[in-house]
Amino acid sequence: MVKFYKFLQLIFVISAFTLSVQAQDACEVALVRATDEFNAGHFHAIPAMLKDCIDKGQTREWRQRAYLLLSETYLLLQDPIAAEKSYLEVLKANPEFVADPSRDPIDLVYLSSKFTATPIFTIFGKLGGNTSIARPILYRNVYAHDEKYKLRPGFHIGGGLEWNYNDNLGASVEGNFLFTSYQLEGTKIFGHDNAEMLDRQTWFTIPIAVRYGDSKGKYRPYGYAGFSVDLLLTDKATITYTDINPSADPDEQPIAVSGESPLLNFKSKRNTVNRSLFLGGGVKYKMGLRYAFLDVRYSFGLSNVVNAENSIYDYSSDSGSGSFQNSGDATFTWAHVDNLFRMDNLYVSIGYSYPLYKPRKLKVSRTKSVSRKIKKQSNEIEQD
Amino acid sequence: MTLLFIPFLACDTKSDFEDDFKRYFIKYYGDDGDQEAVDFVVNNDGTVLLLGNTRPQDGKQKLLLIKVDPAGNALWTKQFGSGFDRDGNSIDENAQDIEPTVDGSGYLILSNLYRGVETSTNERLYDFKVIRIGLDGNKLDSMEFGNDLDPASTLRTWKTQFIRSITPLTSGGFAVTGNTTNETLFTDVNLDLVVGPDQEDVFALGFDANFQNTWDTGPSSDGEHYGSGIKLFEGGTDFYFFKYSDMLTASEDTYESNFAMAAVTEVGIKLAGRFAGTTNRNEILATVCRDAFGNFYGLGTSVTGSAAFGQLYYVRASDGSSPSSSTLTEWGTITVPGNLQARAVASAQRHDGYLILANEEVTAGTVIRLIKLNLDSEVSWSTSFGSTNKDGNSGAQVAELADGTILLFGTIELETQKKMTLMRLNSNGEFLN
Repeated sequence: MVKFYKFLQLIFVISAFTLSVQAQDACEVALVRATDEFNAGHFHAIPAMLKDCIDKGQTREWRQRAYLLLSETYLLLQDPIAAEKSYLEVLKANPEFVADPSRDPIDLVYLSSKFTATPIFTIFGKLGGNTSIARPILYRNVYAHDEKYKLRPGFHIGGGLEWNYNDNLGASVEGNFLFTSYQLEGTKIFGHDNAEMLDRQTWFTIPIAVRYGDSKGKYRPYGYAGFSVDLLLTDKATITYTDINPSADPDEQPIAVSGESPLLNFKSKRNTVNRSLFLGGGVKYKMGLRYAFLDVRYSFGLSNVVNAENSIYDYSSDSGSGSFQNSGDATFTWAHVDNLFRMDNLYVSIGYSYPLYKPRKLKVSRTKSVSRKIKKQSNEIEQD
Repeated sequence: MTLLFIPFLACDTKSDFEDDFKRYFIKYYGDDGDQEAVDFVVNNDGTVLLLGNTRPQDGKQKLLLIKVDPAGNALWTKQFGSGFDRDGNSIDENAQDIEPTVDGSGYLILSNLYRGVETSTNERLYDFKVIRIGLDGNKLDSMEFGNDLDPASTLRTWKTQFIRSITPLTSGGFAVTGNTTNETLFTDVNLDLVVGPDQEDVFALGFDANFQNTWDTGPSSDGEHYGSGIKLFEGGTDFYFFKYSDMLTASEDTYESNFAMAAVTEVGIKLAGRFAGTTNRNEILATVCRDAFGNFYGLGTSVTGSAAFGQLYYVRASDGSSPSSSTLTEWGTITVPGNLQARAVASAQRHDGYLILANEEVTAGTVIRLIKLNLDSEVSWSTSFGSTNKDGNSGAQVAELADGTILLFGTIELETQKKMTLMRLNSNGEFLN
């Protein structure tokens, strides 16, 4: 019985598919016939020939061709309102359609100059890897030693909204969650000891950028620059200290004792609101009406990340509280006080952008520029 | 509009933080092994000499002296002591005190030399050493007192002595005070032995500029079971002599310790003493400073029985124009919560009170507590330093600088070792500008 129902379902699907294909074929025939009528100069019958298929709904490609034919038809029928309405439907079917003077009738090109489908906004999302570069402003040296900052991998995820001034120029605002980290390695502490601090941060950043990019081709390079407000959400560190004591007997190995701190909350030792400038660029890969992109960004930290006044004790808490005492553990158990530093970041992201196309009639049409273009082309033809 | 954005686009640079970690800081000092803070001297130029002990891998404790600039950066480091005395006997150095000489030409360093345990009495045996150094930290000369003396000297028979402080004299010499534990030779004729054995005797010694012993108080005349000289202050030809002792006072009928002040003449004769303390607790004097008014402020711990921690107790004594006419003017318990042990006291530069350093016993360890008292010995503020689960944290010395900032010297027990630490704090005891 079950097999029988499955068989019926299969028959139903195949039938529906077949009917759909047959309908499409019929509309394709109708469009070809309408085109033939147009070429034969029989304009009045064309709208009626296409109406049924339009009402049933067709593919984007069919609708583009059909409405283009209707636009040209209405232009020839001296019905500019219907022509504009049809051309708007062309842009809805294919927002990236651009009338070409060398291919399309001049009156259609002229009509097209009154319209645009350029997206006002584009939304995008991205994710990727990053690494943080600590740039010391002031070494505070709790003890005499050598130290260096080391890179660590991080990752981020975010999204944003881009406002397109025109096809090339735009501005964007983003919201990104960053998970960053860096490592500080100290050597020759008290003679022979080593220490390693691993600091992990979570950020929410709000970058605002101006960008310029290519608007043609499958691969569209772009570049941008901007300013970012970077909010530090969490900061946790672990410190590993290795106490190395050379033996009095030079033939014996040094005695090393290591200790690792619990997770130390460094949030109070950091400034919550930070600022940065950034430069970036990448390439967008056109996928139909959407884009995938690869983005590289370098952010220059402008502000000192360390809260200099709370870097030993958290003076924002009650001095008699346990949290106040615990805030001193990094200094009084692990002999650590932060240097003051800015933090740069290098990001590599991949993402997907979704232009929000909005076909519309321009308030100020670009007919003059079209006229110049047509005139220029005419001159070129005469010279040939 | 652009001007509004300029602050947001400005970059923080070193010049924005030029004074950071100068008017306040914490610095750790030391080498391999453990180091313990003992005392410091703040020079007029803002540099500081830090004195401590270090125990390197050869196991012999030595003296560690570090000179730092006003920002706490080490300028030079010296170690003193070889681990052996002049007779080649194995010893451990125990730094006790450093004081500038009166003529400003150098410093005197006091160290107690630990020789081991007397097997018959199970007592720890100490002698003492004084090192004279120049302003550059180089040793000029030194002397050892006790085991190294001429065998014919009666002082050698003290067998052990522990010195608490050294006082440089205008003559170029110095005076020291402490106690000795020699109940067999110096049984006190005034002591009621029914209460307990004569465990310690208080004494003071004077030396000339050539390290020759010129006077002593003798260790046996005060009638205490235990006690110690803490500090001598030069007053003309005599000395203000501060100590603690469990000798009976006029108002007591039981032996328990009190603070005491006496006068000592230039030939070592003790004049009548004055006492301060409670009748049912032991007051153990730890330190005394001359205050901004030229008087004296003593700080100690009031404890029950032989406990190491208790309440802070203070005494004030007038200058009185001479040691013999000085009087105790005020004493009592300092009302501050916690189980404390007095470590150091310093007079505030602005004449508005005193800075007190104490060790505070907490559930899992010991922290350093810094307390500011007003002139009525009431707590203005207090704050503590160190991890609450380490028991090696200990205060050593405190001072207020001319700009109102505070220097605190102590030992911090880090995760794997003890280190000397110097903290500079604002006038509220905070790491803030």
